[in-house]
Amino acid sequence: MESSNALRAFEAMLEQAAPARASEPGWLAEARHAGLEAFRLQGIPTTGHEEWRSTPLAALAATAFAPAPTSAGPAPTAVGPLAGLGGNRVEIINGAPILPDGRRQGAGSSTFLLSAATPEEQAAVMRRLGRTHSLNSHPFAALNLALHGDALVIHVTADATEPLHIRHCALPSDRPFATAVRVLVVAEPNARAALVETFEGPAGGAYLTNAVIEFWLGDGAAVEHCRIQVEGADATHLSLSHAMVGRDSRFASTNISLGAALARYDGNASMVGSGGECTLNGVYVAAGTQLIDNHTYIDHAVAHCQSHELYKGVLADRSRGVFNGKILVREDAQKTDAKQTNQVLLLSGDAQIHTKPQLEIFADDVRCTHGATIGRLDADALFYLRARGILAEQAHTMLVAAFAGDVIERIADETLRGVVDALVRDALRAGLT
Amino acid sequence: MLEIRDLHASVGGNEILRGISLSIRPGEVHAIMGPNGSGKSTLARVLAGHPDYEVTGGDVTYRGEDLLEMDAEVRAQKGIFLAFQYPVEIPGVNNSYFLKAALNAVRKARGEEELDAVDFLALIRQKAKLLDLDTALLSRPVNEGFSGGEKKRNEIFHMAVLEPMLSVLDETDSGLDIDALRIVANGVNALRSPERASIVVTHYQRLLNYIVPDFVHVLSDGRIIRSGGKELALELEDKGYAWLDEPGHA
Ligand SMILES: Nc1ncnc2c1ncn2[C@@H]1O[C@H](COP(=O)(O)OP(=O)(O)OP(=O)(O)O)[C@@H](O)[C@H]1O
Ligand SMILES: [Mg+2]
Repeated sequence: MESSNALRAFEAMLEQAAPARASEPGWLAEARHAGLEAFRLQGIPTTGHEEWRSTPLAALAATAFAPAPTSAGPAPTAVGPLAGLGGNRVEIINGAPILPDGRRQGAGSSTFLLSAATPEEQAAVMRRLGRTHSLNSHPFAALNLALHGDALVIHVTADATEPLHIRHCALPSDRPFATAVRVLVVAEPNARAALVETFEGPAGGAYLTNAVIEFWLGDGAAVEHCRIQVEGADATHLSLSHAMVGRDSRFASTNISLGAALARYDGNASMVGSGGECTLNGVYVAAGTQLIDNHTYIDHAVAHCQSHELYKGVLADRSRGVFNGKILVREDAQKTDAKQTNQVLLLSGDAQIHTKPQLEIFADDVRCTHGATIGRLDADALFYLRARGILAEQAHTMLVAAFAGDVIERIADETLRGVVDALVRDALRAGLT
Repeated sequence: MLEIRDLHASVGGNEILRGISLSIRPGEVHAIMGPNGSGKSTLARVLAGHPDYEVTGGDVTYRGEDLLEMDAEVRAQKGIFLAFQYPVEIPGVNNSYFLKAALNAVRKARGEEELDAVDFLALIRQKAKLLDLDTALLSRPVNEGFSGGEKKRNEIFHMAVLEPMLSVLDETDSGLDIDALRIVANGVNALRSPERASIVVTHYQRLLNYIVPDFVHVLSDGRIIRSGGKELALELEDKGYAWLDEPGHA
């Protein structure tokens, strides 16, 4: 593997972290080692790599990232719509989860750092951490396993009614730095939880977010997940979510991607128990020279599961979007019902979208549909609004917001829905002017 | 109020309006009739400021100002209202939310304060009642899935809320049942005043029984070929448009 500034920087970070990790349990050291090996094997992908064809990482590879500054201070108070999110919050500052005494007991759930786990908890984590997906499927998730600090674990045992907000916050720095965060969510059978992740960072200054969250849903469990990516304008955001959806359980995730110079998200789900249902929805808004890349992958491994995907993208200026939706229906996954839709609104002649459905179906009695539409704003609708007195700019925003609203209105939690709606409107206003 | 002089307009390189002159004073209602494709909707769209239509000649003065210089939204803010022949469906935009934005844009332009949610609700309830509009339509996306008649009624409902100075109704009567026609006409008449004026495009004399025009014009092939009083509409109903082409009449 050819060396690059970023590779050398990652290796240096590992070396630097080694003493602190000497006390980690053996299984974790092994997992980290496996992650590192898998990363070294894959390297930083080029656009020659099929999965990264439209996502140029040359600038990332050339950056000599510093380790994330520690104790860089408290996270700034959220402003704007994000301030409307509830108070049940864990902050992860420059990649380090902040949890006094390493643990917090909530109604129906406990949240703890892996370093503070009881032996039983550790055993449960060991069986799951880094095990939702193959380490060879995603170089940065593999790197994440080697590099992440203390993992944040959320163990949902019953009805965790109050949504938990995980606030990933990068602080201003004068040098480009890299974080690696790992979150594990384990929902016991019939447990229920709602989780909001926000990714926030300084308006300017380069940094790399590498975040992996894994979900394990027991039989009959239900998890609502929303991720709101509003990273700073110079950030690179690489993240992966993977949910293991058990029997009769329900996983619903909404991915709101608005920030960063380059954002790549892999939203994965494995349908491993019959009667499971998963929803992977998303809204992305890009302007300037932003690149937002969303890859989804749903693995229908067993029969009688449903999956729904609805992604809506709005691309202005010279921005680029990528949507790659893979659905694998294995031989045993009869009666699978999978629906995938990706709709894109191009607001400029220079904006580009690369959209690709990727259906691999090995069962015969299934219903799988996919559709992609790429369009422009409806000129008749625009004239109708203007002819009633609405300024052209406001009419634009209204129509585009309505387009994205189709996804946003499906967010179950009302407060969260309002926050997302306001954020998307702000992004649209900024992107359209 | 509105002075149209020798107006020529094209769309997609085709000249559709070929020299229209029309003078409308405050308080007047002008009906425009004419065969399909003669340019009635084109005239309406040009007056409303549709960006696809290119004015190639002539001028239009509205209350002392050059209308053709104004963007569509400015015209609306200055009191011009077009009731569309084919109202546009706008998925995802709530009807009353949209109307509130429109009303507040118009009020702002008039130097009036924006209406708060409570006053707005009271206003639209009152106007919906006036037009016997099913209030369920208020919370649905604009025109989406509305029946043909509901769309037309919704247009007049918008008009009733916005209270324009000059309304241009493009075949608002087509698709309406008899009762709806009367209700819609009442809505239009409720706005009639010495300061306001209307242009009513229609194919049917029937509407003009309810909205009695001061003048009737016949548009054919992009020109006004005949103007008269309300009796002209009766004559047209009786004889069609062909007789206008007979020697001595054109
Ligand atoms: N956008 C357009 N592109 C091309 N031709 C157009 C366009 N708009 C209107 N026309 C043409 O202009 C002519 C006049 O159309 P217009 O809609 O003004 O007729 P109209 O008098 O309103 O007819 P109707 O009674 O059927 O509503 C028609 O021949 C129509 O095809
Ligand atoms: Mg017409």
